Amino acid sequence: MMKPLEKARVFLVGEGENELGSRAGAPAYQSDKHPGVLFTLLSRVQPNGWVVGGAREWKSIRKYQARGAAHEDTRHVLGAAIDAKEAGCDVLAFSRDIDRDPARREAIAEGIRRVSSSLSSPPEVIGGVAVPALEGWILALLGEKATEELSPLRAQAMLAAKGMMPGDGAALVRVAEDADLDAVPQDAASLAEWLARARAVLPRRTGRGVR
Amino acid sequence: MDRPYVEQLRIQGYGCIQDTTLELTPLHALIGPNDSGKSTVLRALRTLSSVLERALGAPAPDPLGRGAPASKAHGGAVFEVSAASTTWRVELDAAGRVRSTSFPRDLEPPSLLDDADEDDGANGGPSPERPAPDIVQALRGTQMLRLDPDALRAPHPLIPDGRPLCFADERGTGLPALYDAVISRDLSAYIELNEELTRLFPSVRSIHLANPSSTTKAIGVKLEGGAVVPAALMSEGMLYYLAFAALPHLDPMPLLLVEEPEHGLHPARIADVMRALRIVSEKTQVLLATHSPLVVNELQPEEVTVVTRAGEQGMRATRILDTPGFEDRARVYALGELWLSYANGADEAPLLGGGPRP
Repeated sequence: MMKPLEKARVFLVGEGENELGSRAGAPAYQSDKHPGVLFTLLSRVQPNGWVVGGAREWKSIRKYQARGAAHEDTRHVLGAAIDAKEAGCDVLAFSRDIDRDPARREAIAEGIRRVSSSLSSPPEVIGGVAVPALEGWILALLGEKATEELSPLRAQAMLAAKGMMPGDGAALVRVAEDADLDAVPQDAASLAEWLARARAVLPRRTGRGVR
Repeated sequence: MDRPYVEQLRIQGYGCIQDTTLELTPLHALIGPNDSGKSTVLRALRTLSSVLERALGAPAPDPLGRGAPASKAHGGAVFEVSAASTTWRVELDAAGRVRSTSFPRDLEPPSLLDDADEDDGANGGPSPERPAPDIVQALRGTQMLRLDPDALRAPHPLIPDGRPLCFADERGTGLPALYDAVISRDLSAYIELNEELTRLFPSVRSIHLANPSSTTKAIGVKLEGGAVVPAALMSEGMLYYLAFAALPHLDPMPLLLVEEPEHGLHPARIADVMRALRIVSEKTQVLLATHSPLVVNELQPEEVTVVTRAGEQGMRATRILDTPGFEDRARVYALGELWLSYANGADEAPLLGGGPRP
């Protein structure tokens, strides 16, 4: 008799409720009551075979560092990865708003590279910067082009013009639920890379074929 | 360190400690929640230093390495200090009577309690056995520092040439006289102290030593504009810094016990104090009790022991190096950051037991 596959555990990290839904905030107060954009996107890529094993906001990752010249976001990714590992998760999924810090893209990429070289039995990482912020990804999911050219404020303003205010996580999640992930504009490279990574990692980790 | 120092300390039945063994290094910090027993360890070492002073007035040990019998200790404490190739075992009973013996470190300790006569305690027992040279070098002259700004500020009589350069007490009394003595004994060191002070406190031009009387010195600082700030008006942080900065220039002692070196210091100055303490630790073993992750950040993993209280079992000491997942965690966090990430201020279970941080 075949043993049923254990569900993969995914650790989510994001800026706040928009990304994490009711998984934002301190662990003791988290719930699965309502999803955020990251959970929704991962569910679109792979609906079954995984569960959320834990979540954190970036602001709760330790920030001060006495030694080392690394960009703080490189260390943040490592901190998120060890949190994921210690929560028994196989996968770390995150997005980090690039905001106005162009060095953040490379810092995050360096952090992802270091996860596998620094930790024993590291989690697989689905992560990267959201350019210019999560709102840019939502606009791209709505079919807007050149979203990575926008400032974070401009992206927020464009969403507001479509009736989605900055704190309206539920509206952002509805976009992620309804979007055609195969129709994301090519110039939304940060979102496209993130989805490609999710498509590579999740099916493998859940023992299911690529959708 | 090129001389014997306390490498291992076992304490039984002392304060909140039932039975704990600590592995120590020339510079070492004890970290952990309030009331976990860090200060008890420092007190134990100070007690041992006092016992040693008493023992040095005692006759030499017998060739069998056994101390003379004393009254059997009931409800007393037992200590084993290991330095270089020797272990010194000290038994201290509830009445303060002491029995001690030295033996090679790789041998089982002889039990003094088992051999004790029941009828020899009437006169309080003999003085403890004279310890082996390794132990004397590791413990004799141990000093404690619990700096007190009022003591640091106080004018103090001059230290005559030839007298030891050290604080007059654990509160840091004598700071002005120490700086004065450094001038006469090592002018280049005094100049370096001044240069470092002005680098760290840019508004300060120099240390200012005044003479409130013909036999006392008072410390202050002269500002860039020429105004003198007397000790009474100096910040506590600057006074603490001056005390720690002076340490490398004092007469070496074998062991310095420091309570909360971070006290009163700006976070950016803590690294400077730790740098001074590391220099001191080349000749003097330095044992710290601290609550500051910034102090811990300046240490190596083998230099940090986590102290917790484990209910009935009393104090527990765990090297941070031996905590679960340390290797991975240390690749992500600086040492103090690692502690802070996993500490809970109570039993430090997430640090000592593994698993996700709180």
